[in-house]
Amino acid sequence: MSELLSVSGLSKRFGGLNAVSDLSFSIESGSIVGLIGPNGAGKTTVFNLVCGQQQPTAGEVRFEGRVVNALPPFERVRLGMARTFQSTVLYTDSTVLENVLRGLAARSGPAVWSGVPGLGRWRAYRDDLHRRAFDLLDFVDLRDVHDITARNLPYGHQRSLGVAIALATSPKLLMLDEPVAGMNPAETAQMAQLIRRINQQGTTILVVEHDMSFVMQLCGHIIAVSNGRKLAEGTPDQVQRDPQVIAAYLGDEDVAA
Amino acid sequence: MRARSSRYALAIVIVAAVVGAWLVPSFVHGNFWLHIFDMMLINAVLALGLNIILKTGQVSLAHAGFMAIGAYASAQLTLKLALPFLAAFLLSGILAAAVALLLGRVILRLKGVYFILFTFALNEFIFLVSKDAVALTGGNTGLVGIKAPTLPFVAGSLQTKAQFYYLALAVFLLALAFLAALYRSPFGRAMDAVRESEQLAEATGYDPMRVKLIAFVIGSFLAGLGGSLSAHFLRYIAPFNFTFWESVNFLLMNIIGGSFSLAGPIIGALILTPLPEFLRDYLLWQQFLYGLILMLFMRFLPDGVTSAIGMSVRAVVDWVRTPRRKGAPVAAETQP
Amino acid sequence: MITTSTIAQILVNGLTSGAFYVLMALGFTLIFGILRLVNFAHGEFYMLGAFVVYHLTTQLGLDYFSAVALSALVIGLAGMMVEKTVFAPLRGRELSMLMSALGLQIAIQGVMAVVEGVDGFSIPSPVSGVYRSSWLAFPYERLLVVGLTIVVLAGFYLLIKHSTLGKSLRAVAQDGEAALMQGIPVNRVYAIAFGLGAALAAIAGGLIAPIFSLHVYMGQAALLKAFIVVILGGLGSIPGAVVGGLLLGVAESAFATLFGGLTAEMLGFLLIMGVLLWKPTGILARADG
Repeated sequence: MSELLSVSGLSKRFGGLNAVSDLSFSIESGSIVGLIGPNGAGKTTVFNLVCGQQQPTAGEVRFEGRVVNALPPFERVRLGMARTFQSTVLYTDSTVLENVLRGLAARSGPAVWSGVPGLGRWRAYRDDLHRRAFDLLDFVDLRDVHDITARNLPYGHQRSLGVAIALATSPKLLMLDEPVAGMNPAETAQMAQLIRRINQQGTTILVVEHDMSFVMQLCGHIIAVSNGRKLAEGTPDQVQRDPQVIAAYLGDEDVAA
Repeated sequence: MRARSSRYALAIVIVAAVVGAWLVPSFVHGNFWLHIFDMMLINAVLALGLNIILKTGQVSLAHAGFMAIGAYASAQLTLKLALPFLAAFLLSGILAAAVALLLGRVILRLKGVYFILFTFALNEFIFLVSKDAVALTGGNTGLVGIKAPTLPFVAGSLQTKAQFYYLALAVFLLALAFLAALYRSPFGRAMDAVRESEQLAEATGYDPMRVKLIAFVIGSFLAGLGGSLSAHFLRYIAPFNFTFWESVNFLLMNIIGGSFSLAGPIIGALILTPLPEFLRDYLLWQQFLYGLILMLFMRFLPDGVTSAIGMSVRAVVDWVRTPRRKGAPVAAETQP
Repeated sequence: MITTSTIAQILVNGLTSGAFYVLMALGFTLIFGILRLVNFAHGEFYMLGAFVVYHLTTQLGLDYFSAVALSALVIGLAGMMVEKTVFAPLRGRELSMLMSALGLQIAIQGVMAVVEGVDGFSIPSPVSGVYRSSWLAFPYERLLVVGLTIVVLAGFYLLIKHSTLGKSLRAVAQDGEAALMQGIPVNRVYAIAFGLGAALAAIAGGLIAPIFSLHVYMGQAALLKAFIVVILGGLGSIPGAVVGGLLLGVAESAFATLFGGLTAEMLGFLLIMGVLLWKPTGILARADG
């Protein structure tokens, strides 16, 4: 396996606070990697630094060997790095289908004049786009609700739609920000199932998550952070037995969850 | 089947509307109404220009300022440099677009209320300049003696309001066709995405800044063209043509018509242009009524006339269809 | 030639107009902070305030100070009613509220143009004479504006910091929903905030009336100043309104003295363009703002 993403010496300071300090890790192509840590450990900051939402104070983010530090988020997407949002960030006033179409259409499309009936390959383009959108909706099991306005979807479906929009950009690396936050056990199991299926199709996954049991059963490789530093890294068993991880989580009621 | 027949219906409506619009000067006589029809078309071009800016989620109160740039440029290019109308017309659009391009790079970083406040100030700034830069703008007295438009291959100039009407209609139809094509293209989808959630748009590979900048430049280009048209139609321009209230007017055309379709700004221009004339009998109370109507609109029809019409048409259609649809599987239509 | 007395004169004029800007911006920023409303009608409450003072003093023979106080009360109550009828039904729809405020602005101007006509009026100044020292000449009527503004500001500060109402206002400004959960009568707070803002504008109108003549279109220019000040100080920030108002007043006064009136008029725009581009949330906003 080859290295898809590698992060080295990553640091981020806010004022006098070190949110992330000297963090290094890498993600093998084809794997499912979990990034865990107690509340305020700097997980979300790491996530934002990797996506390009925030700029690191020091360190490097490499994707497929290329340093992407200077690239804004949308250009990282075009390289194959997609993300989902912690809260349900959707095009809430548009239909489910339109949400996915926007994800698909972002990267390419015919020229403006193709919109004029009879000119260009507009119809072929549109039909192809719709076919791909429905394929995706099939994949995340949302075809039946394709014409419903996104804001009217149940919560679990909204989260699946968020994943579908990210998938529409054909990512090599899919980064999920707390994908099961606020979900009941049935929805959580479904999400785990969906993530595995995405992975089986060859997409590498990075999950930032609070829910320990979810991460332990889903991920093959886990990175634990606390106070912006890496505590431990390895298989779920190794990480779970690590005394530093146990200490960091002590008193954090979410360990049991 | 249904999609196809409704597409034919739409095509018929559009052709009928164009033919009807083309015939207006043959039926409407008298300068009063022709004047209003001419102004409607000019305002529609301007309102369409604002529509594309609104489509990316930026509410601009500086549209009249960009109109002013076009109007003064066109007037001076024909008066001082004796350029033919068509060249001045296009250059005035390009100039407004160039200003938008330069300013847009910085001001489009502002969002929501901050963009509104800034464009409000920008409009006042352009207004002040038009009052004070006497050498360029003629100051408070404005510019008089602007020539009627001339066209290549057309003898004479478009002196009468009926002749001008065809020019304005042609510009309006070209602008409309261009925007209709643009809105249907992938770029139209990009604008919708950026308006609805800039955060998500950016996370799926759209460059929000670029999308907003292109829309702002195109919208300002149309504002410049509209300014040029109005200068050569009225033959006289002065700072009071380009106040903050004019900007509000273009925004109102979009809101009253409904800013989420191209029909909206057009309907808005059709309603708002003659409104002062209808209120003329109540001249004293005209301003008060205008404000009152605006407040009532916001209270009862906030999504505009188009959406209200759309909703009532849909309600009627649903009501007609209801008996036949009973028991039909809802998911049947979803299969492609 | 810049001398001590030139600088003193710049400060005198700057403080006077600055005090006026602060009063205008304070109400404007309060209304935005609580209702999320860009109140385009704010200048009209200022104009109404001036006209009420005019009628109370010239026609009912009331003394100037009682007239200003009564005018603030009347316009404040009118503001509360306006909030209830025009803005309360639109809660949460920012663009609709903004457009309604524009409608309100046009409507108030329209009515007043019918009722009062479009001519200018003037009010005799309650005080006369000039305070003079070796380097300073401060007309008493301007000193009065500054003094009354300080009194109003002190009262406003006490109200916000040390009253139950102030506590409610701060809670709603921070988070309307959370305030509702705490049992704060949010709807009443909205109305009171709007009324307070309108009253502050009316006081500004009453204070400025003896210095400049009044007419029904005077609100537009005042509104523009309020806009500039709140952009400088940060939308919704009360300390920002005070600092921004004084800053604009003094800077304008300096530019008017040194480079002439036109440059001073342009200055406001250049300032806010600079501030918006450099720090869109205003000069006093915190880094995370």
